[in-house]
Amino acid sequence: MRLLLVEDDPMIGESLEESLRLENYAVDWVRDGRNAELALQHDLYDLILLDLSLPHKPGLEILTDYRKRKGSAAVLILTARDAPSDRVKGLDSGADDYLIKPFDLDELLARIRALLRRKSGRGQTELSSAGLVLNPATHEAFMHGQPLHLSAREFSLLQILLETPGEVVSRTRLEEKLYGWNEEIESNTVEVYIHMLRKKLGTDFIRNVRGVGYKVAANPA
Amino acid sequence: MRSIQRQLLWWLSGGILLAASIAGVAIYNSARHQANQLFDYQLQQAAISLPAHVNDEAVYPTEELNEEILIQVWNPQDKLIYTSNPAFSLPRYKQQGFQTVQAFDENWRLYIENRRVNYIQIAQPLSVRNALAAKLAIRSLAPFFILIPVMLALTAFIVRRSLSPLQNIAHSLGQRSPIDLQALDGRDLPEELSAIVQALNGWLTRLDSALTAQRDFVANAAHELRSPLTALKLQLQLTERASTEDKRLSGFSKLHERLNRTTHLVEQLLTLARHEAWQNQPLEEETRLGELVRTVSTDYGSIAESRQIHLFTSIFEPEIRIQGNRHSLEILLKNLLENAINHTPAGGEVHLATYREPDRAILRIIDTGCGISREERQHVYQRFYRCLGDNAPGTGLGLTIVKNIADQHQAHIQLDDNPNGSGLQVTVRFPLPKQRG
Repeated sequence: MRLLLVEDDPMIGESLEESLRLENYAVDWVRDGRNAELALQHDLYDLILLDLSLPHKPGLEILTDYRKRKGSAAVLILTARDAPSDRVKGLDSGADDYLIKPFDLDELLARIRALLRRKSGRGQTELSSAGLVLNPATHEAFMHGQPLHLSAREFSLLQILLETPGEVVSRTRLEEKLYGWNEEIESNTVEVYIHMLRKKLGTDFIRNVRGVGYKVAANPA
Repeated sequence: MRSIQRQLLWWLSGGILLAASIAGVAIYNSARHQANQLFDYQLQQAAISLPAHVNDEAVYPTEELNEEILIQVWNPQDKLIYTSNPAFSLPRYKQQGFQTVQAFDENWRLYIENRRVNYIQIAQPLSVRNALAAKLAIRSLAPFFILIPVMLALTAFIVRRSLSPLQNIAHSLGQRSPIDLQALDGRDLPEELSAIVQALNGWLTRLDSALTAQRDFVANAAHELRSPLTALKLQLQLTERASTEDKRLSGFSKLHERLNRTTHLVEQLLTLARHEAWQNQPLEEETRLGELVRTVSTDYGSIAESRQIHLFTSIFEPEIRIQGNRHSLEILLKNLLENAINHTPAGGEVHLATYREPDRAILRIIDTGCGISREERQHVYQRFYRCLGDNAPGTGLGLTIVKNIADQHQAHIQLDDNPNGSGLQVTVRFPLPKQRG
């Protein structure tokens, strides 16, 4: 899951970035409107955390422009403006949710999970496929009811694949979703994680579609 | 409490009553005088109307005379040959014409005429005349008794009516909510009130803009306070989750740093609020700039050193004094110095100087930091304004506070580039105190 954090306050930004990384999200942090525009040129984020008062370009304008370009990421506004009219304006401009500073970290994380869930078209909190159950809120994984020990990256990778069961996800896409800008990606990391997962889940669970990417089996109808 | 309406009513009614009484007395007297003249004329006419030759047997047509009139006739032998009322027998008075005499315990008005043969003496008691005269005079006063109540009622009506706009204004002001600062309706008002209402409306407008500014300030302050609180809360929750001792320790140190930042913001907000309230206070203390510069630079010596910034001072004229509040001036200098230190990279310099121009005392701070671009110089005094790309810790209030204090001291601030390279030069020019004696 790749998140864009748009926040001009260095201290809030720093803490948020750290908190989100701890939850295994790939996070990119931009500090002003212009850089937010640049980051949003390619639609590769699942969720955007948007502050409204930003240098160079206000948050609401960024949001409006992004939605005009058919940007599909979920948008959660984080702002100190608490007037109901601001809230309405934010939601009407295309935001999916609105949190007022100062907010509770747990609440923020829960809302992020809810938005991502909604975005992938799921109602239930858990992801499952062929006997595997993932709970993104608790980071627990079960295979046929038996708890599985997965590293943070392994969990994230599985989560990405389980969001769209039956669909092929390219290696580049996986890398984009797994890593933020400042994180080094070694050339074969995705393969390494797939290898580790196959060891734990069995070789058939993740299928390799040669030259295209990876997929997990769709749930039996 | 004094009331214009009551005062007007009392004075006007008193005046009307007094004027009416004076006029009444004058009219009464003149009416009585005229009545007396008329009665004299009547006496004379009575004498004339008597037949020229009267004798004992003559019959006098007394019935047509007023019965209050006493007619006596004497013949040349001094014998009373006629009296209209034998009950009163006045002696014969010698002097001819009109006179007033006393007899039978009352005053009489006499008219005596000496006809060739007889003396005719006609008398009338003064009390009768006076009673009649008074009756006549009072009758001529009758219109007054109608006039006075009418005048009083009219006065009361006019006074109430003229003062009613005042009451309307008081009523409309009394009904208002404390935040309703709309101008009063000044149409259809008398000239005197319209001046007051205009002045009041001017004041309401000023009050409204001051209140709006205050509201904006509170809104801004609330907004600005939320950011450091958010950072604090996030850091607290992150530190709670720290998995290792190292992470927890670094979390605590960040918490400290953020708490300091929040405290600083609150302090700056309070300083600003306090100085805005002090804007019009007189400045009575004399402050020595040299001593101020020395004290403040000593306070910041260790901070500058820890950031590897060379802080040095030049006090060219230690005795130079300015009129002002010592505490405020210290806040001004500290804010300027903090700005300079916060924006100067390690290895840089901050130079603090005080000297004198012909009619000004100068305080100057030069740093070797990033400076402020020309376009931004006009904005930096706005509350919460932060320069673009400014990552130094700050609240955006420092220069607002500096400007407020400078204004309070009638000082002028000038921002320039550091003449010796990159950085900012701030010059504050204070007026010198007026020479005494």
